[in-house]
Amino acid sequence: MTFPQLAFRNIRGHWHRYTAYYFSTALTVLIFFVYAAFIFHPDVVQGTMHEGVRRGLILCEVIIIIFAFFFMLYAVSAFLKSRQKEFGLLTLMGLTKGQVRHLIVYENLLISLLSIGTGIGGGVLSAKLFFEGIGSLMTIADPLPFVIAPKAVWLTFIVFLVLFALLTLLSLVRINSQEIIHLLKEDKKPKKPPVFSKWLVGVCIVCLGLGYGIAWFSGMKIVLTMFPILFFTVLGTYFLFTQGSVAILRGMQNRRAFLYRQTHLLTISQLVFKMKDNARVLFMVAVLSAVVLTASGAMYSLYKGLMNDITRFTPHTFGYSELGVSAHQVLDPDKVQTILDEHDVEVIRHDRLVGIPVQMDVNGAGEMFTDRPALLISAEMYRQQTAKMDGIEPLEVQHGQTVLIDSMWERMAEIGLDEADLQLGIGDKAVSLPIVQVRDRPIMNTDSRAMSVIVVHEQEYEQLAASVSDEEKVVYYGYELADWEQTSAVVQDIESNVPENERMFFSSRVEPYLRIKEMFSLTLFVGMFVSILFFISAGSMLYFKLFTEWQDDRAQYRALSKLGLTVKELKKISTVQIGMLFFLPFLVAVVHAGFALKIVQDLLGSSVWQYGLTVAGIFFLLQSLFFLLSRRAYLRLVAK
Amino acid sequence: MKPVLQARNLTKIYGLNKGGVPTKALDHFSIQIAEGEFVGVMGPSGSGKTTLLNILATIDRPTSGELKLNGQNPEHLKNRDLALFRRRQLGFIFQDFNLLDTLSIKENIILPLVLEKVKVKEIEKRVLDMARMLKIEHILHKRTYEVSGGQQQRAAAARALIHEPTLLLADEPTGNLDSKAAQDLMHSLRRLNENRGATIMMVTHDPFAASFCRRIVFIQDGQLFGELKRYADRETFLEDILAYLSKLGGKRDDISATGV
Repeated sequence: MTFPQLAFRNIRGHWHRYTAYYFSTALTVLIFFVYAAFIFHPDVVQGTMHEGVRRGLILCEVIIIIFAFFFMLYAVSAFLKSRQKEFGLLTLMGLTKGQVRHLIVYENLLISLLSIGTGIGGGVLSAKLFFEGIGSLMTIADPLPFVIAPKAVWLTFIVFLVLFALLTLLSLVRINSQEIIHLLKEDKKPKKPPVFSKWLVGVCIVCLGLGYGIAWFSGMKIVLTMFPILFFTVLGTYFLFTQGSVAILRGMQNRRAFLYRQTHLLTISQLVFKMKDNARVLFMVAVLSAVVLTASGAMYSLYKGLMNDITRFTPHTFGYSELGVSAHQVLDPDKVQTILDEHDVEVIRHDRLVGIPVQMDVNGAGEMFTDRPALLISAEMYRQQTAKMDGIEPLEVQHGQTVLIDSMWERMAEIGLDEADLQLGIGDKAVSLPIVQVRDRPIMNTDSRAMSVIVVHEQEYEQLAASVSDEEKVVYYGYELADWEQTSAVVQDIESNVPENERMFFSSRVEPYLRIKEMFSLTLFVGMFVSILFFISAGSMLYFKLFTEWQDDRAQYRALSKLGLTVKELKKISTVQIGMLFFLPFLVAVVHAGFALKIVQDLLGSSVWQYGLTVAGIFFLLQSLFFLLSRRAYLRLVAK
Repeated sequence: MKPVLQARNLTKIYGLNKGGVPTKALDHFSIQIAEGEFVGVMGPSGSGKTTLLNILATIDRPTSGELKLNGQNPEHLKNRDLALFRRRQLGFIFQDFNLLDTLSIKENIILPLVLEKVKVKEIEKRVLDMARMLKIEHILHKRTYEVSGGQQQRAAAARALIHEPTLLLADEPTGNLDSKAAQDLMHSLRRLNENRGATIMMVTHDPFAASFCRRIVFIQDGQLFGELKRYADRETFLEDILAYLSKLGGKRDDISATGV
């Protein structure tokens, strides 16, 4: 048997140990390659259309490499640790340190070439789907032709080979300095019962309390509180797994009525060891899962929030304003009707608002509220319009009072409402009006003629209108279409009938909607792969942690079986233990993400719980799947 | 005396289904053990001792023959009931102790009671009682690696008997012990047999350990070879055993002389 053969047989013989590692590295390579294939795609390199996606993907590539480095470093050192005895035996048989190192180099080379090969191979197969996925999400671009740039192959190959070489070097350093007897006895070292320090448990509680507390109350000051929150939560989580878990289980061990109940004794006493041994992995998995959960939840909430805003703040599918009551400079209503008929689109609402164009100034409120074009309308007109819309409270305007309808005020105004003093320029006249109320829900789309709407009492409106001729008034036409999300073609057709120099008076919700949707879909699509990668890697870490002690576990399983534990009881014990390993970090991650999403909610001002729960639900299903697979593989091996 | 174990014509053939050469590990072996007996099973390596023990322990099934433990044939039990049968009717002592190192000595001992949902008070009472008898009460709260091999094996004996099984099966219990520890263990087992009426069957290589038994069954090539009963004191019995072993035609080399 040659040396490479020995290495090969080692891998084949310990396949269960390598499967999770192999699949997760192959998946890493695959995703890296697919992204690279996009980045180096000739059409992407030459074109400008995909520039944003390309930049996002490059960022993802960097994240993937950094992540892969730590993940693989962890995996490789876990492997080596579980094989101490084997190395001791080989050394005892007369292999020199150099030869053992050789063996490791061969093994690593083999498994890395295998993963790189599988990853690139799988990547070539999935690249086409990936291109089509991106193509279908981008409304303007044609799908990219299926071309794999050689550069992508080379980059992937070299990056991962270097990564593997680096890890091999690091692992060689590790096995350097141990005596044979220590290597051989590695397995037999008695395990001291885990201990915890009350002091550190206190630190854990205080840290988590501080992290959560600050998160809960930080609201808009997140820029300042972000780092303290991260610091306290991460530190608290670390101690939660290294100290808290032991403290809790020890507490359970002291309650004899609970402990001395059938399998509890075995489950808990073994769990104390497993928890302590795996504390760091559980910590990492929890933090990783929390990041993924928060990011996905936040992205999804942001997307839904923006989508909500878009319908709320752009009340009409499309609208335009004309100067002059009977003018049709921008669009001819008959033409609009013809196009709508041609496309067979149903109009849900057709609105017409008439008002006086004014220049509005609010002293001290900031640049945005200086020389702002606005439309002055009567309270009667406002009432008529809002009666047709949902969720707007009726408005009573007394004589001499003014109500400002402006979605920007709350966010952008630099002064409070009570200090605000509204100055209006009507033609060359100047009028000063007191604002009594600001409403943020617009009744019409904003365009260059009307960024805001000002509502005054009917009589006051009549007075002001008296000096304004019909030709100087502004008419706004708004159309709300059925299934407006699908009406991009119609709206484009209509807009193309607007003369070039009148386009600023035409507004539509469809275009921004599609742009936002495209951006988010792409981000979600690209981010999804990174999330899945994180998630699967976290799962694999737990998976091979589970198998590092399978020999001991199997011996124990057999002994217990002889003592008369039923298969069901034995499986129950293992299931509870494995379940803890998989679901405890998940639970912690969900709680963390919950607090993080509370911040997101404060920032967005809209509820994120529903979306957060959806994301957590999906992750829970995935995690359960991982748990079931691992449990099956574990029991198969241990209960053989 | 009521028979606790009745085995008739136990035969075990390995390699029947796998296409290899079939080996007869047990060949029409019969044995009977009555309540309160302390029986040793001796025989050279490969004589079928372990196979016999495994079958009696219900973790292996005979190819043919009949086995009755406490009047019940374990072959008729399903896997789950078999496990329950094992943990209620049988106690085990293994050569390598098989104590769980995640548990303290005490927790190891009470395991059979905990599994049977015995009340905490009752558990505490019995474990103290047992520990006193085996002189291990001072190590109850230690971990397995903190105590000596002899103490571990006595703890294993406590675990094997705390639930008062019908039959205690011991597999080379002194195999991993030094002579002093072996002697302590065997004294303990004899006390348990005499004072508590525990029925014990012990498989061993060791004539010294065997001399604590009341009756010894010799097995060779899967068959019953002969039987020795103890009539006088232990020293005389030991000499009888050694003399008998030399009759096992040149097989004496296989019998270790630990403790002699």
